[in-house]
Amino acid sequence: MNKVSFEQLYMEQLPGLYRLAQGILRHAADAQDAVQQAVLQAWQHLDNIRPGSEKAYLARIVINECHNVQRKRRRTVPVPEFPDRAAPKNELADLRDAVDRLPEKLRLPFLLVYMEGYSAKEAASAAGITLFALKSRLKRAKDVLQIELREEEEHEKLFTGRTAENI
Amino acid sequence: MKNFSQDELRKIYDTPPQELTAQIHETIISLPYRETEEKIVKKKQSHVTLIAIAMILVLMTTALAATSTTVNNWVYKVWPYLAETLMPVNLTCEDQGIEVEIVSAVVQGNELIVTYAARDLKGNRLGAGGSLFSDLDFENTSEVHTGSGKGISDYIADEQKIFGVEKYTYDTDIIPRDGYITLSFHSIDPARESLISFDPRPYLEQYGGLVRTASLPEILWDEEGSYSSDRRFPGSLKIIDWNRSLEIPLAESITLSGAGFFDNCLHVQIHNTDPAAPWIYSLDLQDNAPHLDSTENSTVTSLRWGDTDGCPEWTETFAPFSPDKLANADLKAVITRWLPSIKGNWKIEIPERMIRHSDQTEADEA
Repeated sequence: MNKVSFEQLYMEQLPGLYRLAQGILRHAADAQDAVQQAVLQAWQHLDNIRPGSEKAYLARIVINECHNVQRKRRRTVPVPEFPDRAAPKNELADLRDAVDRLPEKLRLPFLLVYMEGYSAKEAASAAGITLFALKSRLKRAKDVLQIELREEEEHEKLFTGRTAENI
Repeated sequence: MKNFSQDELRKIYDTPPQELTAQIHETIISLPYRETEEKIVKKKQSHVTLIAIAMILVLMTTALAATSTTVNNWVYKVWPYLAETLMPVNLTCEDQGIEVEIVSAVVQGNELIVTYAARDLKGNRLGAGGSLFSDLDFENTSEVHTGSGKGISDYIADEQKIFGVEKYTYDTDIIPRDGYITLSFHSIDPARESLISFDPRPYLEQYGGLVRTASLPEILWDEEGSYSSDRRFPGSLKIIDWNRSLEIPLAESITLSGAGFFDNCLHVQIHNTDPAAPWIYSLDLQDNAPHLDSTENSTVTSLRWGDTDGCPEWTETFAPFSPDKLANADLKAVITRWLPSIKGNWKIEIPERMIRHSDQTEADEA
């Protein structure tokens, strides 16, 4: 693979990889660092990308870079992403809050399969877990999200008397 | 719960900003096309060198035995079951006048444990509370690995060394056979010293009602250097107005600049009155109650700023906190100081076979 086709591949995957990094790190600037570092890693291991497995391979590299960022962050003064208080709450904001609150081992399979459309096999490979573990975590992620979002609706009703659907 | 489509789900996160796409394009352009090949050639050379180094170091084992004994004794106190499986490595490297030594290590299943020591050859820059930032790579492998690491470190005053243990657990049994495991450190944090711990409540009672706010300065600082404040924080974020600093002495070169409640947060600000000195100060807010703590996932936020060539002059820390919880809180503001990180490149390659747990090697060979 030459540089031109590598760039084409990476740029095609970039939106998904960036969403994945944001989902793991919950911090836009860190996510940018991770996807940029992943370019170098992907290039260094370019010859090892098997045809047909590029998507999962790049995702795995980005996940790995995100973990490096997390490990580094553990030893520095935490500066979390500050929520934009002026932003109006809507169902997508509620969903993001709920996804962000999922523990990472549930969040990662959810992001890969439901958001990015990876097959179960690709997602298991990218996350470095077995197919069985992936399916079990996906189910638990959905269960937790359902409970969380139902609670958000109840909370909304208390304050506005309306649900997201009947606004 | 509503069923969200994939397109809707994707909208919860941002699309890549234009500058990121441009930066990646620039990065790809600047990559040398034959880098992969060059890397392989380099590695072959380094293997020969490393075998020679390993042989020399085996001869030096007696001289280094003292460190191994100290580290193993120390590990034995913390993780006794690990101390028995560790295998001596005793490989060293030096940069910036700091010597780093991999004392021992073991690979067992999907776990890798490494013990290391760092010593200042040119002074006494290391001390209690210091730590190393480590990165671990597997060479000679086509796989990219995921896993998690945790470690502890300590300073042993008698030997003036930082000792550390890192334990990495990988998601699958993927540590390659007969390859080289590279442990590299890029930054060493010198000693951290807890300077003062105080209860901010008397100050809140006396001055909290008078606190004035200001907008964020354009440039903020963290351990990695300066950054633009609008990159991480909304323009609406307010902090205590440092131009009206209370200047209440707390410790040498440190004054309390202000404390108060606003925007549903408790804010405390300190002033480093001697920014030309090399110390960096951090301010942490702690409470035993679950609504406010300093753990990894907490919402305690620290900002540093100050137009100086030395260390940042102002530090403000804030966290969500309700004034009505104040009476029952066990609140502490903790100021810590340390010297800037020592940046360098400490890199040691360990032949995997050297540290594979012997029971496992024998079982594999059988």
